[in-house]
Amino acid sequence: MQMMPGVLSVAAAAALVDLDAVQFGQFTFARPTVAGALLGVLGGDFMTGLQLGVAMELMNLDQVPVGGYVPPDGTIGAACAFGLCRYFGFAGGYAFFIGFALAKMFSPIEMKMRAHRSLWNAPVTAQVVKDPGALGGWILKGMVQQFAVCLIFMLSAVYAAGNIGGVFWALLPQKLHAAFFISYRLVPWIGLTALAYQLYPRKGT
Amino acid sequence: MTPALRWGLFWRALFIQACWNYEGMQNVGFAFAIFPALRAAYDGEELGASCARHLEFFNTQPFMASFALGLTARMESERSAAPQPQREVMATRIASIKKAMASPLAAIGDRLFWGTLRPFTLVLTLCMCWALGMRHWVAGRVDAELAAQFNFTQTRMIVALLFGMLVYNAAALWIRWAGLGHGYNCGASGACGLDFVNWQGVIKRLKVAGFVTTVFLFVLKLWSFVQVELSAPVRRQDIILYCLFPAVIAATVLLLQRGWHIVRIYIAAVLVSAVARLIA
Repeated sequence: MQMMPGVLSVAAAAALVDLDAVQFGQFTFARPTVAGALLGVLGGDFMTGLQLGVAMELMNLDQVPVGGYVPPDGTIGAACAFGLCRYFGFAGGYAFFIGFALAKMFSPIEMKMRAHRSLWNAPVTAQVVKDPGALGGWILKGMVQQFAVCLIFMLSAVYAAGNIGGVFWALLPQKLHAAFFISYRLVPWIGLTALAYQLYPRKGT
Repeated sequence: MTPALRWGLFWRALFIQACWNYEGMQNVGFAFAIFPALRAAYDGEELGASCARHLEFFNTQPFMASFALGLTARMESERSAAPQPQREVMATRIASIKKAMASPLAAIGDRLFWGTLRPFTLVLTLCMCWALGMRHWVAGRVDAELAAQFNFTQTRMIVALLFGMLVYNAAALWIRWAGLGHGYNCGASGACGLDFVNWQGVIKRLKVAGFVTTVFLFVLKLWSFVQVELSAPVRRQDIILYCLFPAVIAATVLLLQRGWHIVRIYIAAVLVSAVARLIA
């Protein structure tokens, strides 16, 4: 119970920052590197927050929100990984792996939310014809929905992963623990290689 | 366009994706953003009807949407001044021009912002982080003692992050602001303001700069490795790991060429590490 305020504040801040990814502005506050650092400041472990954020962003570099595609939410991944490190004492490499999986798991939920918002189109049109100023209310509703779903997801994911993941970690052979550390140390190298590959100017670009 | 109208469009355009849905995509956000222009042009029932017209399907890159917003604002203002019989035709024209603009705007915006500027500013931020003291992690280790050695402080890293954000947002906000003016002034003729920048040239130059900076960061990482490893007792595990790095880089390039996503490469790295540890 003592960790509850900490997890809640990190999840609330992450849900708020995540609105910047799609709903409002795209000022890059939701960029995992920035979000990780912000959560690190809030959670009192800046170095871990920043490292997890950078790693999460490097691993999601080629996931671009083009058209209707919903890429894994790096902000949620970094926030969950940070919560697991800070409040459940998980090792960085292991927390990153779980955060990464949770970011991917959030995509179908995001898709469901978007599909659900399609149902709003008919009532929005009907209302707007009578009261054009009502659009602001729907915009606000969309943002509140996004915030609430992100918050609930992160709270439940961090608690579930914190408890189940802890048991799994204890059951895992000692030798396999190293696999998470090694792969986490490889992340900057894999990420930077991918970054160079992505930015390499090819013919026609 | 009056400054008040421009600010209104600009501020509201920040919410263009707030109600993103599969049926209409940015439709609600677009109608919300264009509202100040409609309010200036119409009133009463016509205002509601014109708002509803903009609830049709619309989707483009959010920063580039300002071109379509500026153009639509101008066309709506012209429509309101036109005689009644012409208004229906003009409404159809507005809808078709808006739709026609969405795809080229998205094509440019996706390549420029998501595909180039975002990775470019990431590598700029990482270079700044390195320069300001984040060398312990870049070299592969996570160690509080090393962090202190390289003057890693929260304030310095925040400065580095703000630098990256500043570069990105300066470009994004400028395009958002300038796009409104160019879209408004083009009056649905020619390229609708899209030709005021040589996009292809900008993307190409940014890619070259980003690639060079990334290579530079690789060199910095190697330098950090030498600095860190020579200043501390060398661990066998680290030596093995660093011997693996060239292989990891080569394998990553090979797999990316074969169309693998970074996610798959990371998972493969976890699995290979696990198997290697079990065998060892």
